[in-house]
Amino acid sequence: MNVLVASNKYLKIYSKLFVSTASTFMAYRLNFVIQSLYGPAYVLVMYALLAIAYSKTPTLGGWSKPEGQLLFLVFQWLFVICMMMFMKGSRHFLWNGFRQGELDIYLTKPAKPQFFVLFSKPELEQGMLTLALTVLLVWHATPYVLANTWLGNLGFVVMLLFGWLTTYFSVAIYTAAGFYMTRAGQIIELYNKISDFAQYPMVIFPVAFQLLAVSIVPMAFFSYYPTLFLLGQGKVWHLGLALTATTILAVFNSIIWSISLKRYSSASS
Amino acid sequence: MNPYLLVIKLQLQDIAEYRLDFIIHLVKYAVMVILMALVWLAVDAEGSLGIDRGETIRYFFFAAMLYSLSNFHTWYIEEDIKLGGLSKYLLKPIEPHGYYLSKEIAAAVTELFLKVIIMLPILFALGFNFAIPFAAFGLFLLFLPLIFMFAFNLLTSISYLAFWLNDVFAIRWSLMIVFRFLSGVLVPISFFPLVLQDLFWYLPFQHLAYTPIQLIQQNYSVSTGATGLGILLLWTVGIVQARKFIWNTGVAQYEGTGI
Repeated sequence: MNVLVASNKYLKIYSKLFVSTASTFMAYRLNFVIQSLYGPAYVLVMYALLAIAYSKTPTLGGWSKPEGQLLFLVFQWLFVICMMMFMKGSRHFLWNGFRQGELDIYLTKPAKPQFFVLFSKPELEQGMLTLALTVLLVWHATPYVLANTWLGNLGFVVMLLFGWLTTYFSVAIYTAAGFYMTRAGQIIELYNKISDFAQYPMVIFPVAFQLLAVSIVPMAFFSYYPTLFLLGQGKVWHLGLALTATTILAVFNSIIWSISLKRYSSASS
Repeated sequence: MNPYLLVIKLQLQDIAEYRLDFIIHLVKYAVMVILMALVWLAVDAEGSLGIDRGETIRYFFFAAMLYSLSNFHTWYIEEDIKLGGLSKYLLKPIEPHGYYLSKEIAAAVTELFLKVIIMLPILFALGFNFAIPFAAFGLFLLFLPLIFMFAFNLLTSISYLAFWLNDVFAIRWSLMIVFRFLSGVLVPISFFPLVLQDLFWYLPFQHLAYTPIQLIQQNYSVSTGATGLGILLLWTVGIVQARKFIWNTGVAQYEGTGI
């Protein structure tokens, strides 16, 4: 019951943040249009790289071109959702928010500061891109969904949820670096740069990198494992691994934020 | 002391003070380029890229190094214009563009220097032939300042649009993505279809990374490299003029009131 009440409260706050951000964008419409550009530019360039790769080989890591495109779309779709929801907040606080004492405002409010830090800046500029990617993903994934078992499809949905959760918790953990470093913005940029490679089959990378992809930068749960389920190749241990990773990250996130908030001095630099 | 030299000195002190930030920045793009190399090696393992694997690896090491000279994030210029911070430079005996240029020279040269120190031994271990003809090496060195000048003037031109637009971050960032792609940092230009390769030759981007790398890897003759350098020089002259025009027009209507 408490969980439902809390969820309702945070949903209400988030909807207000969403509406106020939308109102700001309506006031600066040209700005909004310009800011909508870079998401599609990024996706197009990333797709061009994939297309060039598949023009040189029939398979990549054993994945055919349609399978590679499916992996790409799953990655881009989930990534843009994360961008819209919490990436901008994390980036903002790591670059400026913490060191300029912006957190003080949120400490006085009756909600968790972490929620405000990560969700206070919804990136609505990527709305059109999200819509376009959703249509493309549905269009491309439908034959695979129809050919798959219902357990496989369920596994896909559950893995997507784990993908979102592991990304959220890991981003939240890296965001806590802002409590300890004056200039911490590069941390989230490095995280994003490495995450970009989740759009390729994990098996093409060395084992050390694959281990990194299920631990420090848990991007394998983001697109690779969900897509495996959609292709009917998912295993129960994939789900177990994702559950374990999510639990560890959630606990670590809770500990690090608790310690960090206690030592926060509120003096901006 | 010359004010611009002082700016360089201060920027170096800033880098030394926030060294972890600088190291992560340095690692970030090197990781990106090296992971991209792994993707192309995987492509080569199952298909055919038409070039030797060792050469592919060396190519991306050079790309990671050269990228230091064209990778700028001039958001602070946009902030200066938007928040009125530019006024302090306009009142001082220092030219704002020169100030920004000095800052970026210090950062780019430090980054390049560190990458060279780290990567040259790796390249040696990977079997790179360091017996480069003097003319090719000399031409390669000539590329370096020109790559920097072109990229810096292009990106500051975009940042100066902040005189008219509230936020130019997205334009600059979109350009950076396209720029990375077309320069050959992420994918060698020879992997593109021939029609596009012919077109790209006349654009400035491939001469920011692909052409100098081909020159140093001795896949391009000195005359081909010199032609590439000439094309880049022409584009640099053009972009410098465009940047001056944008700056002069913008600063003439700048009110310094901030937002």
